[in-house]
Amino acid sequence: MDDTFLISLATFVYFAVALLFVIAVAFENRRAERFALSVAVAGFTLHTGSILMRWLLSYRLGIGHAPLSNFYESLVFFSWSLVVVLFVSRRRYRGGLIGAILSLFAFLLLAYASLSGKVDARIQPLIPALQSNWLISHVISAFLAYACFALSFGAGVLYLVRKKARGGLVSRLPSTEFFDELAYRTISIGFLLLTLGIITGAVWADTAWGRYWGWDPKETWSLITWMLYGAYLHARLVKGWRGTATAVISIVGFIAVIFTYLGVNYILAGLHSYL
Amino acid sequence: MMRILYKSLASAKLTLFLFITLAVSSIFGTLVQQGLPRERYAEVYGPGPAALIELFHIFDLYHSWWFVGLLLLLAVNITVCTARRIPALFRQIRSRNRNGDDGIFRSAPITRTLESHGSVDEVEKKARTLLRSLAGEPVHAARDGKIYLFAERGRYTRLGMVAIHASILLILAGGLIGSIGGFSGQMRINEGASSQTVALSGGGTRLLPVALACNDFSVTFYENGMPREYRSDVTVLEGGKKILSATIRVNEPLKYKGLKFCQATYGIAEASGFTVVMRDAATGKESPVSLKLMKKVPVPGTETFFAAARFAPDFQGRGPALLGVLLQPGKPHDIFWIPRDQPVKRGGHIFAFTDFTARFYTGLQVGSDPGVPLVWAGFLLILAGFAAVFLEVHRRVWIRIAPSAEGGEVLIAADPGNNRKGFEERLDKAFRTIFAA
Ligand code: HEM
Repeated sequence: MDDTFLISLATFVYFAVALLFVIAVAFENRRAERFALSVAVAGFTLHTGSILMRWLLSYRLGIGHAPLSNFYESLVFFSWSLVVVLFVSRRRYRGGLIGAILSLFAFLLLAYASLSGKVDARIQPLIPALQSNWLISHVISAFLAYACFALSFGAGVLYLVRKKARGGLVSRLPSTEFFDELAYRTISIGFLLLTLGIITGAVWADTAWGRYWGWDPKETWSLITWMLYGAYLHARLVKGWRGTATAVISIVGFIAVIFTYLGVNYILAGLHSYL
Repeated sequence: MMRILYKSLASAKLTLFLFITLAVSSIFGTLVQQGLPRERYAEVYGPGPAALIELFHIFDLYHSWWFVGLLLLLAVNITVCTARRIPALFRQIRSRNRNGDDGIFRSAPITRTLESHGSVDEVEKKARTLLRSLAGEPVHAARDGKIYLFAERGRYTRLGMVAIHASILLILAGGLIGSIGGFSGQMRINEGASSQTVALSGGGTRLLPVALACNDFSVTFYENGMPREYRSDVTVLEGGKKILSATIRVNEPLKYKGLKFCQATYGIAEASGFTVVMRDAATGKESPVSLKLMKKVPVPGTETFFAAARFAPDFQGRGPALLGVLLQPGKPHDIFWIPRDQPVKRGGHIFAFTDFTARFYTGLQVGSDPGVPLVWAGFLLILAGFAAVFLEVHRRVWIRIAPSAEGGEVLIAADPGNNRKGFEERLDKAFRTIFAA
């Protein structure tokens, strides 16, 4: 048994979690919601176990390093961050909806990581550029930020859906104000984390490449994302925009996040192409 | 006229416009290759787009006049915007009499009214408990026979906004100073040699105040062939005197007198002493020989000679290779490439190029950036600002008690700072538990 086996198990568990949360929302069933949550805890345990195991295995191979260093590991960690956000969000928001959104995203990422033939799941040693303590803080803050933005994206989409709703299942969803508030709170926290991610990245780039900023495509796209969410915050806090306009920015913002994460590697070339 | 200009410079509309414009134009910079030789753009993008690229300086978009102009406009926008708010902010922080006027009980974001029974003292005590649970220790005032109570928390958090905005100015200033007073480029030093000149990124060269000698360069690999470490052992020389010796690795630059040297690339400066193994295909007998370029050796058991004509450090992306020549009597020369560890069969022999001794050069990224301290200060300040804004809210709650026959009419006004809904729930709950008791 190795770490990728645990990840395949977690993938199936998250699929079940997403289904259970959807059922909990559709039937407004508190018991289904609680059950979904305990299954999510089980999936998260497997998921965390897999990450720790991979960490350990890398030491066995004599190339020990935190499992945050290639595309496969980043997908697994992104997915893990989504589930962290799921648990943290429950301190403030009840109801199965956030659980449904986040576990669905978590499932999709893991499914891609473990089922797509394109993602190399082998444990690899760290190339010199990645041998830095900044790697860990940089990756953790960036992916926690992405996870927050994934949730605000869901909230933005559901805001628009809810607004159009005329009766039916959709009108059972929470109010538009709920989604607006949810997007705002997750974007504020995500913005802070993204700022931290950009700062740690800049300090790292300064030691690795001798400049803190070089307009490399990944750097530039992270700044584009940062400015879009900056626009969101000011539109809301200073101009008092609410509703459709801000929901649209939260959707566009997440598209920029995805492009920062994937598009830059697949479409544009740059120094960051290993991750 | 000036007023209109000032107003638009101070407007948040301009901020939004700048954020969006900077974001969209940055996208172009990631789609159009930056820093190609200028004549290449017409080949890659066609003559029409190339003219636009030239006109708008898109070959180096992030340093173009208009992009830098937008950044400067952002700096002015932030300055004017924040400066305009500062007086009100300080007035609010310093103000002693915060019991307000009666207008607040109509205009605040949240207002409540209720009738409370009991003596005025009792009502006031309850009101104080309520304020303590929502915002903090109340201040008391009495006017026209009415009691005014006020409580506030997080009075300083709005300074966090000032810190965030100031930090952006610091970072932009640091960037500007770096681009004016700094430089960056590459330096190539052969093992055993020294150099004092940097090939600047923007073209041209620059003489450093010190020279750097490369004593040794080494690269090591993991078992799977991925690189493990690039390492240059160098000595800093000032006026020919050795000042210090250091090791430069990736992520471990050498810093000396405001200069920074980072490990960037390496290569083979010169190769000599090639080992070639000639194996007789029929007998399997192996004869290793040590060669120099253009020195022929006999191929055992034949009339033929073998020589290495040329060495390529990287042959078609397959690594180092030798250009071998077979000199056969009465036949034209047979010339063929032998990549390292990829033997080639010619005639009755298999030629394997197994090893060589080389002199490497190390490629260092060299630069100096006097703006870095400002940028680091900006980073710390923005994090401090975020901490102030996120960890604490500025919240104010006002209460007025007007004595009546049965007790008192209680008016409540609140400005929750954020999370209005959550605060209203807390307020109403505290209301019920305290005033029902
Ligand atoms: C360039 C990066 C900028 C960042 C990262 C930034 C960040 C922020 C943040 C996080 C807040 C929220 C503060 C709070 O919750 O009270 C804020 C508020 C604000 N920002 Fe910015 N800002 C930037 C640029 C600007 C610019 C250029 C202006 C000029 C118009 C501006 C004007 C304001 C105003 C007026 C507020 C509201 C302050 C308040 O509510 O008291 N910001 N900014």
